[in-house]
Amino acid sequence: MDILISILMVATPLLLAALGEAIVQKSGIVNVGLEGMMLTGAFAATLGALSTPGHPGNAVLGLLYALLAGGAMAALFAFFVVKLEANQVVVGVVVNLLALGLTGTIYRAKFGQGGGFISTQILPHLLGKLNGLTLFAFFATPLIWFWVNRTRGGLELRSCGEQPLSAEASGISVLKTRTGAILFGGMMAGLAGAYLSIGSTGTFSENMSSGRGFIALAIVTSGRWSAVGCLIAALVFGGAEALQFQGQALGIHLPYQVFNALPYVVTLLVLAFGGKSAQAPASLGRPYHKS
Amino acid sequence: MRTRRELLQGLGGVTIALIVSGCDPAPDKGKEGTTVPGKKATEGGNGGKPIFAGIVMDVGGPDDKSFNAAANLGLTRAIAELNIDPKSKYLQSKSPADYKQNLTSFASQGASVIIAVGFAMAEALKEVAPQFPGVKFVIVDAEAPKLPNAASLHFKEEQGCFMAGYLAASMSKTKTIGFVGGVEIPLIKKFEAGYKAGAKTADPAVQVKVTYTGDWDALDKGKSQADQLFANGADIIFHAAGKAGLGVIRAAEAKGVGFYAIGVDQDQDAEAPGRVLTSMVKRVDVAVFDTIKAVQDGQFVAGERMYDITKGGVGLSEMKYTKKDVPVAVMAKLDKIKTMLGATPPTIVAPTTLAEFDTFVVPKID
Repeated sequence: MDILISILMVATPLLLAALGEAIVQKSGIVNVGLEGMMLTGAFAATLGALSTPGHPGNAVLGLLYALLAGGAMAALFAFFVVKLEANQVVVGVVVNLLALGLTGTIYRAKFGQGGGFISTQILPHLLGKLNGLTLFAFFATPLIWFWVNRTRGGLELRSCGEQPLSAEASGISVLKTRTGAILFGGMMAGLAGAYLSIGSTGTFSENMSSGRGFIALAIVTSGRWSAVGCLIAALVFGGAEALQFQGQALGIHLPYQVFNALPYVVTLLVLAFGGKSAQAPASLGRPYHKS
Repeated sequence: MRTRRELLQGLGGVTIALIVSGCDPAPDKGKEGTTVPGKKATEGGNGGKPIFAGIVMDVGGPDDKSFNAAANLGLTRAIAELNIDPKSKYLQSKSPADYKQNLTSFASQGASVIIAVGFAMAEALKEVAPQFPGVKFVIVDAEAPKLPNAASLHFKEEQGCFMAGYLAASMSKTKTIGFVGGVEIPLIKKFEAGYKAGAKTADPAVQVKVTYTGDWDALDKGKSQADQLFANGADIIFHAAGKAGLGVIRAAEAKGVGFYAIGVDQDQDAEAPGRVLTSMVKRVDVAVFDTIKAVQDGQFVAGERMYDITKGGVGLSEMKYTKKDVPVAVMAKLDKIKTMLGATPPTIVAPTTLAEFDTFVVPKID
């Protein structure tokens, strides 16, 4: 039972970020800035939780800050890649660098060097040791799947990622749809980051996302761009890590290097041998120029 | 097929992004230490003029509450107490690609002494040091190149870890203690070996459970590993995992009375008063201060310099919050161990590798 809980806990931030990114990629955009948006969310959540008077603050307000901060970073990203049609990978990298610099600088300016921890309230546990973010991530998965595959909105989203020209011809605004998808992805990444700070540790440290955004990118590909696929991939990767922690604690020594490489190896395998169903949206990564 | 090829290209992009995201193209002002560098380079050497000292930090940065923070403390003290150029400062490396650039940047700004904080900079130092024979290069925790202008600072961490292990095993109610390491490198293995030997010396029946996060930054990983160790019976956990290790302290704090974390490098006792049993202190600040002072006084000596338990280079923190919880008899034994470790010749030799630990013979403390 304990191991199941720790799998769910490790998988939560990965799943949240991956669900958002799956929507973004379905619309035809690759958001490599996921890592930076997570980090911004983690920091904003800490600031939000500390913004209410009284120690140790209000964690639920932190969630709101994380949503806003993730959304703001995403809006910046959307401005460059949708409006200015800039290279998505380059802008994504810039977002990552910006987030690292921005959070680090504000953190140091606000909390100074040395000193004790900044300590915030942790999100309340709703079900056993699971908090609202975990429950939200797992309940959102089928809803997102249903929306993408069974509703008109979802169809419009997919058409922007597959054939943006035809989508536009049939009256869908590709630019608006893509912008909306990016904002959603940014907010989900913000929540994923919030999970790392106020959801699990109750503190912030520089670069605490530590590559989780890139694992989420790998999850989207391994999960074949489907919400349910992302859930499975997040559980597999999260599970592998939780099992490895558990194994180490029990004295079974497993090399963590293997587990660190696992998401990327699986991604490459899916790409190489996944067949037809492993195909990305046809216009993924291509800027759309409205004529 | 086209789609797949494009996707693979996309993945290539991701890889590049991964590499690029680690670099800092230009030293950014927000990351710099005390002040912005002056355009005018101060003349190096010890001709009475104040010297300019530069510190190149590894990726952890001055807020790691640990190794780099200690180096910064040494620099701050040097600026305050010695008559050195107040523009002396540090540069933080964002990735290994920055080491060479940061070292060169200080050297060409006219620094008299440049201290590279971290073993990872050894290769970069080897390349840069010969190019600036007038500049003193000092590296912490690694071999310096054999040059008249290069020196290295080493610490006998295993001695401090031995004491931490002895204390943890003496204090454990569950007869199980934990160790959370960062990345599995020989330096951290040295911490593990010293800690295990100390625990074995206190009580051979005490079990030491060891995990590695594989990461210096992911605080949540440190916390979940500590949670797992606590769930599996450990009640005291020593961390040597940089910022990830701060998660271990958070875990002990969350567990509350009866559970402890042990901090590392700097005195981390105040991070969670009462829940950090002690910290294995590595006085990088003292070493940095001494080095700057030596250069200032014209007393710089090339080669190796060792900081051990006798010079206060390593050891346990003063245990401001937890001293009252530790039995007097255990404190007395710790004092005894300190003397034995520092004696010439030492009567306790703490192991530095797991292989040495395997053949370690428990000494008698009395």
